[in-house]
Amino acid sequence: MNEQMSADLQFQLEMLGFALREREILAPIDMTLPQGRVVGLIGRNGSGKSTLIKILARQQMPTNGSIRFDGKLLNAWGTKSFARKVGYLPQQIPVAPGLLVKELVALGRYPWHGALGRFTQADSDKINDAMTATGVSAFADQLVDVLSGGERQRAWLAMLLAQDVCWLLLDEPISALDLAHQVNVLSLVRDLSSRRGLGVLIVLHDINMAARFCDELIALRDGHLIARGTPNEIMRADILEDIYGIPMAVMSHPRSGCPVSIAC
Amino acid sequence: MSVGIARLSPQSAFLSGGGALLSAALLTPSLILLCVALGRQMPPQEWLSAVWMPRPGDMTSLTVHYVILPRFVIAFLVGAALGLSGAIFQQVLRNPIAEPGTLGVSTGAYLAIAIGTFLLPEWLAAGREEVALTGAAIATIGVFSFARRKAFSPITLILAGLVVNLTCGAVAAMLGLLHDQGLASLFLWASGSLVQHDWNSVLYLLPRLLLLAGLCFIIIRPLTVAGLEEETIRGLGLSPSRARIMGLTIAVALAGFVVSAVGVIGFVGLAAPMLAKLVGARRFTERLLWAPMIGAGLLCLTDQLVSLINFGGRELPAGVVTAIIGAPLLIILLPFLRRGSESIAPVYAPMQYNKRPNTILAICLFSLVPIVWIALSLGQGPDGWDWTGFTDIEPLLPWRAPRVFGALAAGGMLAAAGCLIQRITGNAMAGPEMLGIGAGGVMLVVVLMMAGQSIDPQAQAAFTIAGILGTFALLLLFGRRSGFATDRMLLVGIAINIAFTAVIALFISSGDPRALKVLWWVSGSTYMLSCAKASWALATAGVLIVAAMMLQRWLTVLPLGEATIRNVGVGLRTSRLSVLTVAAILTAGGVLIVGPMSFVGLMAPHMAAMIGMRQAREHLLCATLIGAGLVVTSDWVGRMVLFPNEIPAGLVATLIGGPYFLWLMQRRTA
Repeated sequence: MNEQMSADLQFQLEMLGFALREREILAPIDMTLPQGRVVGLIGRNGSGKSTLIKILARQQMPTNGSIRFDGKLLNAWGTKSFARKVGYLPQQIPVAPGLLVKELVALGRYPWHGALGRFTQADSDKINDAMTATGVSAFADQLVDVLSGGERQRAWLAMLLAQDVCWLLLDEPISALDLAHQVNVLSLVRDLSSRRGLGVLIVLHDINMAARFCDELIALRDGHLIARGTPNEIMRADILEDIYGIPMAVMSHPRSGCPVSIAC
Repeated sequence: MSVGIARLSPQSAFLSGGGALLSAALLTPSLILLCVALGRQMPPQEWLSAVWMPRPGDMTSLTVHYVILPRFVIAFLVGAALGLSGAIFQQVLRNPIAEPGTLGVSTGAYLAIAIGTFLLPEWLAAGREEVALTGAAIATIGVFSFARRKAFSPITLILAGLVVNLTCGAVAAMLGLLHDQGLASLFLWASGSLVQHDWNSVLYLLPRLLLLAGLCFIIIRPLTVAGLEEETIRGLGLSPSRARIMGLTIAVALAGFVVSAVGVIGFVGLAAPMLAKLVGARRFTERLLWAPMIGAGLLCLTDQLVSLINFGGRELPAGVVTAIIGAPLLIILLPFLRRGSESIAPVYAPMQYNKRPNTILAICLFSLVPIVWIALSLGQGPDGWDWTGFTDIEPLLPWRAPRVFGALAAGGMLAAAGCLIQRITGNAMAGPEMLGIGAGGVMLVVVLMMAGQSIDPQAQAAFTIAGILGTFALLLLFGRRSGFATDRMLLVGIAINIAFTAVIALFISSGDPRALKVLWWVSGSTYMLSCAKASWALATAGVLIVAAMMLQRWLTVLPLGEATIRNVGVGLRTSRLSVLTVAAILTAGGVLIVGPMSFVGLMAPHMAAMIGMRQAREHLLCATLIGAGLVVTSDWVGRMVLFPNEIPAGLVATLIGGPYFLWLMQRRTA
């Protein structure tokens, strides 16, 4: 699958905006999201993070501007060919009545085999790999809806991995996870990105997790792109205060020396 | 963020005063029409005196006082009561298609009146109201006592209500078929008439309505909370079962008093709260206020219009006209419904599923063989029971085979259609008849009959197909705007179904000699089948079920919601449209053979789920097999039990399947 991952698989946003009647949810944004990096999307509630990620995932139509993915307008992509390239995990994970974990993960293979195509050995290998990578193999035969919140989140993440995409759009994928699993999942995402060259755009609320695992951070406030840079560039008291609207302090991690931020 | 979007939905601000506006839009013309009607009787300066003290002996003032005015007031009260009742039902059961009749109130009363009409006329002499109220109470108590052990969970209440509704309806229809005298009067009562001769009904209904509305406003907070998730209700320190039972008791009582006072007035209780929601009554408290006002307006306006139209020398029943007027209104307003504002109680999701579904499927398949064989070989003749065994079966085959195999095909198709529809809508109350397709087929035939056409069986089949196609086209036309979103399609289908069913009821209540034939057909009978038709049916069923099986991956993805559907690259419109089309053709096939048989399409998928069928493939196949077996058995029992008389298979299926279903549900709780 690495052949298809040319350097072009990037999102280009041109004057992209979203408004609901008069209210502007996203001010026109021009930017490029390059492939092969983990990009963290940060900002307060209601700053437009989920809207942006939904538009990129084609879950919502923008009201102005345009997006190109891989040089092609987003609308021009076929449903299945887009689903082979880009996977999206919504903030609110839907209920999956009567579905086993392995069946949920198997849904990730749909863009490859379609409605009637044969389910091959390769498909089932991908599914097993995805479940192993996210550590849900032990629950493979359990109903998704009886799992704990964290297990469920990982099961859905496994579905995206089985989808074998080159871009992951994750809307708060670790919100229900305990600390250990947060680190596990983010390490996994990091690892996938660096090993397979995946592009990742990830909404995170924990600024320290974001700084630790992302190559780059993008900050939104009231629908405006207000900062973009490496974690070291963003992790400054004045910038963080600007993003979150409360005084923030930045210090060095006692062991790693990385910048760590706490609210004052 | 999604909250922000929902709040800013384009319609909400525009229609913030929508409840008041719509109520006024309905009530004003009805008041004007009332004044016109009064003006025709007497000049305006005499109105007041006619209202307060009619002059004895003066016919016009007596008419105004004892006929026109009470009729307007009763329409207002009934509409308000049904609107309120429906609003509570939809809130507590967390289902947008719940209505006052959902828990068996109307059909319970209907059955009681049917028993009175056909078997025990002395009951009715003692008082129609009491008989209806008793029937309603017994049916509701039945549903409640069944749902009690499951803490009155919405899904249990709904399923038990469905079974009680279908069973009561089947028994009443059977009584009707066996004693055709009184059929028209029964249907007339069931269509709801607001004709008044004094103020008694008003005096009966008014205090009860006021009392119940008062109680409702006292428990408004628990009721608001009752619309949330189970955990949240508990978390807020409220007992879910107590909140539900309080609300439902009030709602059921409202419906019961209305039924006993004026008969079954359908649709208002479903439409009024939904219309309130459509015009922007987002909060439950707002709906509690506006649903009754809209309901009252809807019924008053309808009733005023009814008294203007003269239909073949008699007046149309208000219940029927409300459905015919209200359904298009609902469809027109449907695009204004906010997306994602519903929280539907989830369908039954098996927590203990069957680990070996293929074994169960094999058992179902092989138990069909003896059922079919018995249906073919065992029968009653002029000299009693007759068992042909293997050898002598041949001469009987031309007689029995078409019916047996026709039933097999029809049962399978309807069950498969129901399974598809329940899977894509995620609504346990959804069944094939809710697309309105079956009723559409019957309605066209009935309308032609009313227009004075005589219709031979060939033409009947052709017109049924035309009606079915037309209805489906209508459904797609209205569903197109929302991208065939399943919740909308279901509501459109229900609206169409209610309007068409009203027309059919109108025909049966008209006293036309062909009414019995239509009732027979609607009840589901294999009587008219020929050999050729049955083989066609089997072939069609086979092809369609294979087609449905090919949709299984979509059937797995579609219940997971739009985000997931898009994410895995399934085309939303294509997949929904395909599933709907297959479901519609399956329904059409079933309807052409046995008529719109509600029970099988609604219940066979639930039965399959209850015996642990989880995946789309096994669920679909198992429901199909259960449906096929159930209809073959019912058809055979229907032919045998009252030999040489016959009971339509659809009714028998309900009577056999209902108790079995309740048993299954109970076993699950144990």
